[in-house]
Amino acid sequence: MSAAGLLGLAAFVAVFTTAGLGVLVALEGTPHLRSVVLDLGLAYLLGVVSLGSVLTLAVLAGVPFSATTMLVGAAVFALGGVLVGRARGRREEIEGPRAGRYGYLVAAGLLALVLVVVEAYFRAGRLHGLFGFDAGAFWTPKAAALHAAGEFDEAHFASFPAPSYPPLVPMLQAAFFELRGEVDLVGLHLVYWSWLAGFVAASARLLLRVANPVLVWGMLLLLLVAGQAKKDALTPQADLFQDVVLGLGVLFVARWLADRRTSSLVGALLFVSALALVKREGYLFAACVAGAVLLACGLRTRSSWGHAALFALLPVAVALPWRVWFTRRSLVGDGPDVGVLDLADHADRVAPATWLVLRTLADVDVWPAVLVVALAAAVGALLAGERTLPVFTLSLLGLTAVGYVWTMWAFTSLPITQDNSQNPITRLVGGALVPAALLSPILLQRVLDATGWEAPRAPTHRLRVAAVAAVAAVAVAYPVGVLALEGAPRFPSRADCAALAAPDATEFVLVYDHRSWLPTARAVRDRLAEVGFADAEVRADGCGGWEVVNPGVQTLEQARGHIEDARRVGFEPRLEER
Amino acid sequence: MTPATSQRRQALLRALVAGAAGLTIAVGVVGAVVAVRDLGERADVNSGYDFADREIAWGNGWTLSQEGLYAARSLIPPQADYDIVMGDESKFTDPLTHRFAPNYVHSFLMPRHLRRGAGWVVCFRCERETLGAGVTVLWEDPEVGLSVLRLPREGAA
Repeated sequence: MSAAGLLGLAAFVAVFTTAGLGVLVALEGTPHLRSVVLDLGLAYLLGVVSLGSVLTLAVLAGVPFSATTMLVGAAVFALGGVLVGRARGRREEIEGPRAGRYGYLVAAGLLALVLVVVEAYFRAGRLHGLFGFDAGAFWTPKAAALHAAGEFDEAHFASFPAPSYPPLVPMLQAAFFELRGEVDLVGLHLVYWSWLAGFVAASARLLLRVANPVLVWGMLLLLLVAGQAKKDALTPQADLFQDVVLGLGVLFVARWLADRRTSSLVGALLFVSALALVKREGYLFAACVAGAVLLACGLRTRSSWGHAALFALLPVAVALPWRVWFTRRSLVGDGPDVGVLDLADHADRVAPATWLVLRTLADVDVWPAVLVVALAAAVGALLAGERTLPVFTLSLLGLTAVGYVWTMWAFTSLPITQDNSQNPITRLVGGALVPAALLSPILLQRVLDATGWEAPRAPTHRLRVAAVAAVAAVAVAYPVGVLALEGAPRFPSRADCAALAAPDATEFVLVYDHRSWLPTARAVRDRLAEVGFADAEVRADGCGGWEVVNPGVQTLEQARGHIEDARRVGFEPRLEER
Repeated sequence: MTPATSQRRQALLRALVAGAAGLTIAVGVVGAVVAVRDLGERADVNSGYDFADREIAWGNGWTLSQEGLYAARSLIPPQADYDIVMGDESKFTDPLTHRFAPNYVHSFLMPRHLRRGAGWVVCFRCERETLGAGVTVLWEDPEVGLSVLRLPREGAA
């Protein structure tokens, strides 16, 4: 990633965080200034889903997509949020369960590891090329089309694979391209990194209010190091984003199940309804959340049905304009291969599909230990006398598992295999396991509370300061260590392909000129030929441009003669690294 | 429930929490070491790519020629429509080429529009005689069988 790419990323994060701060203030009231820093991750992702969804709907309605539209949108969200937040008054600051002295040290150690792993993701993503097939075939080209046309370009979308896939992720990618000033497929990986880092910060912000920090940081570390997380975070598709949106939505649902406040419900609905604009599975996950809410709140309560209906129907309403758009243009739909009435004809797929789903949910190479921990936490909470949250957790796990089996059953073109190039099951199960993982610390905390457990000794002030210093030191030590061992980071640019050769170089190439476009490079070659440089050739320079060279010049003596001759007719050849 | 039963139950529940937390932390810590190593290796590999390898990325190798892709991007105007014409599947050794090269080229040449019958053509080992008379070869690598062509078609963009 170039310096311009980093600036583009900073602008992207700033725009969406500004919008999200407005949403957060509207939801929770005006925060104390010192707590705003801890809000940033949650604000960023609230901004991404809310401003991103509104931008998508606005562009579908005919508003031109541009940086100005984004900036105006962010400003409206921020100002609107501040106005609503003022009316709500000062936010109630909630302090979560505290760790004891040893627990505090363990939590600090886990936090340090979380920071190091997040930094390692940055390192890996910084210069990552676009290697995901779906990412290259339709996710990023859709974004490039949106960036170029300022609207959903029917002609382009019709000729991409999966033309009717929901458009929020391409919209967000295009937002980065817009703020970056060009299509930057390498830099795009850091947008995904920012979602991962924002997810960690947002989850911590929501969880630390209700669960012990050891449980919180332990679980966030476990999620970060999962094999599937490492794959999804470096592949600019929608899987990582979907897990992030669903995970945070479910945390808001858990908060709402506990406090029953409208603000928590609105937060949950913001995330859950955005799911339908992320991937086609979004409807499935929203339906699973709705079903789990219904089961957790009780089938006999009228309000349960109302709330479940909100979770099920709002995503459908949000995605409706997109469905109208692609249906009116007769783009290929996104439904399953087999309808409900014909499912029985493919009943032989049910058993292998079920087995595939179960073993993928438990696969240690995908999301290790998450299923075991989540089941233990939910069962423990039930045994401890809790009902609502463990029932919600188990229902969500169960319903999503059933949803996956239906997916494997109804999409008959998918072979029953874990091979990611043929079947997306390893990418799908994050939708069940990431929310379950995030709910586990809350469930385990409820178990601890039910047993009357309290942290034995509170950490002293000195210990706290030392722990914070140690965490900061580790977080700094990792990048410093990498820099010490491997030198300053490289920022590759097109200029790399025009590096001057050393004065005593024995291997070099004589370059008459560099041009961005082949026709202009050919024109230079033709002019050279006219004045007698018949050996001049045009070739790709390795950085997307073109160079006019003389490959016959092999020695410094030849080169000096050529350079003098060329200068006489107005050219300035250079000896460059081969 | 007797106090003893209650105590046993509490101990059991606390053990369950300790077990779940212990498993989470153990897998997380070991996983962190592996993740930092894996991600570091990924960073080193990424750093080793040259500019074009990084930009062509998922198309390296099976799209036949990096230079050909850059030539197409350089010769076909950004506002133009173009077509991709593939030769018979038997002409390609890599099964990906015939199946997915159009997807790749479409993505690589954004924002140009892919349109059947357009006047600009990216030809992957195609039979040029089937394109009609008056085909101009703008760029070609005969060894790999990739060329960028211009057709004298009515209405070609």
